[in-house]
Amino acid sequence: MSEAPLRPAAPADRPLGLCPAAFWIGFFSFREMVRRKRVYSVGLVMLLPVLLTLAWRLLDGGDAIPAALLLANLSGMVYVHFLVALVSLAFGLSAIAEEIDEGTIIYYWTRPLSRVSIYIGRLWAAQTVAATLLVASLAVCFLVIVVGNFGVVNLAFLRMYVGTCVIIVLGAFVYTAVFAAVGTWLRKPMLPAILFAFGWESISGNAPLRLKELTVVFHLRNLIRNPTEGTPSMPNLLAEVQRVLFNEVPPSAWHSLLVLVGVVVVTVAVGCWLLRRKEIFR
Amino acid sequence: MNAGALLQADRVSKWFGEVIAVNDCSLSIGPGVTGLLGLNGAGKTTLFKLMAGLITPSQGRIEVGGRRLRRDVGGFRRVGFCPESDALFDWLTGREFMSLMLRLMGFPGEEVRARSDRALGLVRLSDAADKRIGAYSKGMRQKLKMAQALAHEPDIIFLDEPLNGMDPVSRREIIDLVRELGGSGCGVVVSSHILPEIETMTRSIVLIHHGKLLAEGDITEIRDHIRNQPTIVALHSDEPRRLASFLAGRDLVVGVELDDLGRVVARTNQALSFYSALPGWLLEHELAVSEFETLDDNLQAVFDYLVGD
Repeated sequence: MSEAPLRPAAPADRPLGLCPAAFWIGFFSFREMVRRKRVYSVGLVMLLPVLLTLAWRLLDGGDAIPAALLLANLSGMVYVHFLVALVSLAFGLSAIAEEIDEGTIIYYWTRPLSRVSIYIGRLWAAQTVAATLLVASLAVCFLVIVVGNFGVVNLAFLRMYVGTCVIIVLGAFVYTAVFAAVGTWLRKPMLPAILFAFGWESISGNAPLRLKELTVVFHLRNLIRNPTEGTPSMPNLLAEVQRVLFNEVPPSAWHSLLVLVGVVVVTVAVGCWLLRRKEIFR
Repeated sequence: MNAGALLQADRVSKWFGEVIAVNDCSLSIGPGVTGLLGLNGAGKTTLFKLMAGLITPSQGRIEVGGRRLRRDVGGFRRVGFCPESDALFDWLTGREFMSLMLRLMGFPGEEVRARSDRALGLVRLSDAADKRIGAYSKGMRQKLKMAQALAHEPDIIFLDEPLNGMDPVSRREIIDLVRELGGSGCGVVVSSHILPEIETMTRSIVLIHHGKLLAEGDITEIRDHIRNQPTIVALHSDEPRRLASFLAGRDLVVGVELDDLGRVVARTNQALSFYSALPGWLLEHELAVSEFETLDDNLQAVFDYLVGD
């Protein structure tokens, strides 16, 4: 080698702070995650609501189904019920587990930083990627609805659109946090995660009594202001039957918000604890 | 703690369930290059990871610069680690990877760039710095792992099989770099199963077998302690018979013979004393020796004798 190695001069022997460490891990992990092939495959699935919106635009154009109702159904049925969980599963499950499986976590473990910062940095990157994909998909849907159809745009519609974006982002953050913890905990987390996302959440989320309040999807739905309320549509008929039969009163939006934030806090704490205990031998 | 020791392991054991991977090992690593040797399954990798702070001992303690790494992560600023695993962040470029590693060491932006360029230059990867790591050859990946291990100028560097997958030229470059690092006062612990490669880097070894520390120190000194296998020394002389009969009468020599090449082959149980005494004997008795070599004072021989192969 031509040049002598650099010596000495290491900086002070303090651990890197939680925030800068998590920021840099998140920053580079985001760049890494958006270049993976997974982004393209998940991106393709994100076209599903766009295609539905296109079909609405071409076949109905707002005659039978108003734009607000379409948006409400997209957010409630397509995004919250299916896509938020799917995208979060794709990025959340791998946020930590992939680093451990591939062995790249060694590079973080041999740096002067806490494992909590590694967990938070990776999770933040996964949440941001998941939320970005969902919001981008919803933005394209919005464009398909309004371009050349500006009559549908009013304050109520815009408020609903922004509200839907916020709920989707919140959903992505909650589900990604849950799946990141599952991925850190289990060696083969895919099947349990799928069962949770599309089994427990789908079935229990519609169950009567308070069982559904144990699901994330219920609280996300509870935050959505549905324009079909008061109209004789099927979902509301079911809700009405449940309300009458079981004397159900849905919790307030603040209650649901608190539950969702609580789920994030608890799963992050559990995930950090699991990561701190992990040892790998590859 | 030994004066000048960069790493000190004190009665360290590590077990997984009922399997003892490392059993009551005590050792110290100072500046310079140290080879960590052992057969597959000997506990070499576990000891390596224990020393690098990747896993916690079940018993005993390991300190690097007086700090226990798993409890005191700030100590990782003084440590460089090059893993054996080929895993890297394939979707980042080499430069991005170096920036991440240096950022996480706490360096500011300008210094990150300078150190990254310097380290990539040291391992001759400057031209490929902006390529995606996924497109790197195995040798380039190995060099990048080396670069991240030394970019922050650690006091001690752990290199796990650093020459894997490298072409002969790169291999030479990395061997030179390791020696240079060792010569600069840095502690370099190299794990390899290819003994001649270790031997090109250092004469100082730690040998582990069945989880136990079998030997630690300079190869020649270790060789000298293997009393049941006399060291074999070959001497070239114009008067081989006279030299042979002289050596046969020495206490330090346990056997002498002439081989097919006309060399005098002597066996000694105390090689270091023999080497010290030999020049005096030759001068005193006017015996001419043009060349001498130790036939089994090499790493392979020491390794074979100690592990019984």
